[in-house]
Amino acid sequence: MNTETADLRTAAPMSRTGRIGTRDTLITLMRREFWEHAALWRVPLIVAALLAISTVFSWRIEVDDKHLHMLDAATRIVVLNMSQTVFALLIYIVASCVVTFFLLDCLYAERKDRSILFWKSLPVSDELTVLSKFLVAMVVVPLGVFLLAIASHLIALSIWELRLASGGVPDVVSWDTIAWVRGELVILLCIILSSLWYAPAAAAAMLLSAWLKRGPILWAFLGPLLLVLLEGIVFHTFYFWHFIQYRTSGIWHILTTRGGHSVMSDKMRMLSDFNWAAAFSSPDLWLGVVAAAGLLYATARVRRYRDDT
Amino acid sequence: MTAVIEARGLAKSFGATQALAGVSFHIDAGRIVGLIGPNGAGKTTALKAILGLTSFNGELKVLGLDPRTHRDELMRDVCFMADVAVLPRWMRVSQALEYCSGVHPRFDRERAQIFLRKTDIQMKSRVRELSKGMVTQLHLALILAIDAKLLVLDEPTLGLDLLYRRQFYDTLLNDYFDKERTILLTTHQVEEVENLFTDVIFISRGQVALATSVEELGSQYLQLNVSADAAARARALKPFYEREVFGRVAMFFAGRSAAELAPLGELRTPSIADLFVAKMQGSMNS
Repeated sequence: MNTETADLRTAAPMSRTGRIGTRDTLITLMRREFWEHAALWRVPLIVAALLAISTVFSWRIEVDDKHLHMLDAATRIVVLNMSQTVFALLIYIVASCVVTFFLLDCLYAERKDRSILFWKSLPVSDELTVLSKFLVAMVVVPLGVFLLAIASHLIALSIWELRLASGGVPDVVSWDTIAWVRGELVILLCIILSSLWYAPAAAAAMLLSAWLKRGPILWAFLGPLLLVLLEGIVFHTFYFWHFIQYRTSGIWHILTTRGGHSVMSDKMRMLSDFNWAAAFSSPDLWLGVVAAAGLLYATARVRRYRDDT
Repeated sequence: MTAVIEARGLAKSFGATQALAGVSFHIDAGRIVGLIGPNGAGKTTALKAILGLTSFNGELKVLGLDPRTHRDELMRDVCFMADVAVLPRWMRVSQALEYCSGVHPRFDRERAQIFLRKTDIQMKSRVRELSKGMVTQLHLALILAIDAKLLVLDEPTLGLDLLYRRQFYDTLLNDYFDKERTILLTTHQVEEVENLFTDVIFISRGQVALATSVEELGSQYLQLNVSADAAARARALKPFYEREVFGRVAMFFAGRSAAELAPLGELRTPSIADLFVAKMQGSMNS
């Protein structure tokens, strides 16, 4: 034991001068979230993998595809864009579910298992901790979904083309680089818009997670429901319900409306058709972002002084 | 020399119960201080205040900083271990090292690895797969690798068997402690660690019952073991606590000289554990 002790003392003299920048700390904090909540990357990855190989199994049944072969060039490009969108949408929806549970659990679980005392024994501020979790949910995972969707779509498309060459599937889609880039741009802009629009909801979920004594996941769904019922019964109004509806789908309505008409009715040319200007300049979008910042700050404060360990 | 911890009128209430009722004490650098008190005496609340984990009233400076406002800065020089159960159960040993070196500027991963190599802990294991003793070893490895000025330990060996407890304190003393570091420790197993302490602070019902260095303890407090027939004469010197052991009476005196007491029986310096019991029981009887 004595020799080992000497070993430990001399082998690694300590340095008192180390410095770690905020950016590096933030990266470590975000990596830590993916260690703990492996579902954040595993689930989207599995969905993406399944979608990537989906074209291996599809169209097994020999359909009467006489008119499919007669699709005109423009329609085939629409099919390309539609398939891009469907791939991204499916992965995004699944990832959103995982992210929702992550947000509601992330600051609750650490209190439940008391590991918060370990996290707090290290020089990491509550603000940075809360920010890292928020960035994982609203930036890293959405961007990951975007990249996964591209990869899985390209793989699926390649498989389709290979099968087409051997005559196994109907010729319904054609490659068009510009249309593809445009399609991906639309998806990326939608993902950015989505992160901005849902930021206050995400921050509110984190506040619940940091604040509630138990069952944040239950209360996140039951609480609003009870409020809606209460308002309906007491005041016979449904403002809160309309508010929830608006914060859920409002931005997509703005995005797809131009001059009071839906842009979806026309044949979609996507990028130019969507009302990007109205969506990104919506005051409600940016008010929501401001609200999210306030809620995140409140979350950090609650985590700072929440004392139930 | 500036105090590592300086508390004046530290107070904290939970509703009607007063966990800390104006506690004052100071701790110098290079000491190993035992914070000792019965359950619910306010030990953990005091530690939480020192670590900036709870709000409080009064004045408190830790390494010259107010833990309420400078917690993030403070945690670069302060390290703490609440008890064995707080390492996240999902974490792998390698991830714990990776994480600490990613966020702590004074974490020396190599040091932690050297210590871990002496144990049976595997880098790939998850915390939940380790035994309680091994989790403590892991936590100890992390602490040893952090070059902190103040180490706060709250019941660090609770629920561990004797071998792990002994090893824990031996390592702490041999591989960690030096004149520049300060250790503040609470534990229920006072008998086991009392040789470790350089200072003790007794805390009872939210107040400091005694704060002294161990050297001074011997000059302030004396334990006199007298036979039953000499008890009356000794009692005249007003012991603050007495207890009968195998037909002899152990009496505890404060502020009496050895010359005064020696003729009456067998004189000795009370152990910290005995003195603690004497102080607690004595204050209850009075």
